[in-house]
Amino acid sequence: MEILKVKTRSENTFYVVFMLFMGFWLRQSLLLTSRKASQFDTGVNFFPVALSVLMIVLTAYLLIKNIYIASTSVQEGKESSKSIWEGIKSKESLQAIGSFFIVLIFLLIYVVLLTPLKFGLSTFIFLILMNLLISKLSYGQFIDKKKFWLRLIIFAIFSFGLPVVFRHVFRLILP
Amino acid sequence: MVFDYYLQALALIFQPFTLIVMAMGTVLGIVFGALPGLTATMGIVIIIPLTYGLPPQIGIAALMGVYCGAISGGGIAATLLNIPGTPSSVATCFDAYPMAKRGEAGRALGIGIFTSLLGGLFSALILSIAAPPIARFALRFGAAEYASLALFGLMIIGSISAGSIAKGLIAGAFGIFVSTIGTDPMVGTLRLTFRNPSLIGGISLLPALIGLFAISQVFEDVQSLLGDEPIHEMQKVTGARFRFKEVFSRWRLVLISALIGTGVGALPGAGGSIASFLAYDTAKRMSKHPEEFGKGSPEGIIASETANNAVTGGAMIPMITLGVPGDSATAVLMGGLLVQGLRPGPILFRDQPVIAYGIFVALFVANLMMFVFQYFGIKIWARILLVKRDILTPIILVLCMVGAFGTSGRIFDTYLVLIFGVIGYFFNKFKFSVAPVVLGIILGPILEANIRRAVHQFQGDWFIFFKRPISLFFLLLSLFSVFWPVIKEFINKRKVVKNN
Repeated sequence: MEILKVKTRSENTFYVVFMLFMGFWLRQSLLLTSRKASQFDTGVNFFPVALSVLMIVLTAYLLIKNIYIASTSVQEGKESSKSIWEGIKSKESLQAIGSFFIVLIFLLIYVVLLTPLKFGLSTFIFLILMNLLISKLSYGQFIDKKKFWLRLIIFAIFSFGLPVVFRHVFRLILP
Repeated sequence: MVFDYYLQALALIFQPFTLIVMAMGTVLGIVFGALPGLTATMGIVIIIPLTYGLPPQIGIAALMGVYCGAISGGGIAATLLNIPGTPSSVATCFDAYPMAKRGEAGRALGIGIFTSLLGGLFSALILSIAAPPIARFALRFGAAEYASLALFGLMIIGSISAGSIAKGLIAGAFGIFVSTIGTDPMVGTLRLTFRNPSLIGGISLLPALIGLFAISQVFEDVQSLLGDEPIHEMQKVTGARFRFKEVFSRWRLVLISALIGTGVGALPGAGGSIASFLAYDTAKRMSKHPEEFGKGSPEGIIASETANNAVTGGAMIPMITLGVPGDSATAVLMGGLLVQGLRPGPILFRDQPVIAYGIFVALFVANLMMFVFQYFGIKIWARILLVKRDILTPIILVLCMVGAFGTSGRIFDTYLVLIFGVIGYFFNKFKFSVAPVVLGIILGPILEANIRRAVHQFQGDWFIFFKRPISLFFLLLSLFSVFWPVIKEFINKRKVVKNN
């Protein structure tokens, strides 16, 4: 019950954030000109405004529905699974969110470094960082030295060889 | 005339470099299909940037290779690990794994691969027969019909894939909203660009596809790695290889399963998993030994694998003739064709018939390649399952990022990939399907431009969409698809009450 409640709470938070996000876009859409191609045209701003309003209304509906369901069903079993939930919350949930943000930050760093360090080096650094993260997440520890050296070789070939393949086979230029 | 088009298409596809790229695509597709967690959609998304700099026929060949390879590759993990490589091979697990467990993995894989080929070839045949007349008919469509058709495409995917009508509609509306960023299609005014020159042309489709389907998936995969890596008992590829005779002797089952697969595939929003379950259920009811199902029955494997591969051609019928993708894989495939500068739909058959017929030829050849590679490389594919995620996941991420950069040469697109990756991650987390978002981005400009064009053409008459029969037909279908989940729930409730 507690898990369900928290799940609903996080869903509601998402709905509120999404409504605020779309509210921002609605405001931007309202600032647009209403220029028309002819007197019968809907105008430049019609679709952005209509779509953002539609999304806000539908999200508000989902939010209200969630709150209503939660208020009617959370009457019993308040204490039952509290201790179990504490364990789950403190470990897996936080780790999951943490891993998401770490991957996102790694990707951001990779994109930022792509131009100054060029493709080969920035990719090589990113691959090593990601490998260390994933091996730590998967096995609970970093992989042994021998395996790590093997991965370094694979990643080096990939990082510095890919631009050559891209340029000559697929006619794509990398930084 | 049609014969000429086929000859020219054959000449295009049977170029050595085209065949090499198609073979690479097929191999990549099989890898993506075989590895649990990687999907056909993801495989197509990753290969799209690689096709960007190549001529369209080579790009098409590569995309078809990945598509066919990935759908049939799902059967490898289903057979050896009891984990479906792709959602459409869930039903394969029921019989292929028990057969592999009793020491006949080679036979189970052989049946799966050969029936995948038969299903794929059958659906490619149906596609090549059905598509040209549908496209010819669709050439009569005006602005009102196109607008209603685009709406139908969005509604049916939105209502079926999300599970909740409201969530499906939000996802679809979000996609259309994203497509409104950039230059207005009627008057050329800039919209929501924040004076950023990179946004003048609108949000590029490729970064959105990569972010929504690949990056968001990787975010989820990394979370699923938490703790110990799950240990699955992998079966060795041993035992007698299957004999073609045991499939040919069940030709009726193969034919019915292929028909189910192609039919279900042609329905927008249905997809491979529904087709394989439906075929499996039909096979069980048809069988003289239904008690053997779930215990390693060859009929179960035949039904599931024939149907899920037959979906490939079926799903391409609405995509290639009307420009409305049938599922997420074909939505991404359509994105790939758009990146190539080709717009699927009736105009493609009129303006570039050789390319349109080239798609049929490529689908046939890709199926044959898929069979050859899988059948003769069974032991290699089994070893692919042992590739560690700590090597594979970072490489996939790099391919995603450089793919977005490589096609446009703009760092801005790599940021877009990240933004859409985060959006896709949260959408998936809160059970919003991302397929309608992509459809919205693809169909949004068609919807908006045609609604405005139709209203302009008929001097402000908004009822024009209801007055024209084809447009009305699509609108009624859209309405039906929105309320279908509600109707279905009502029918199910009544059934339960009746049974009680």
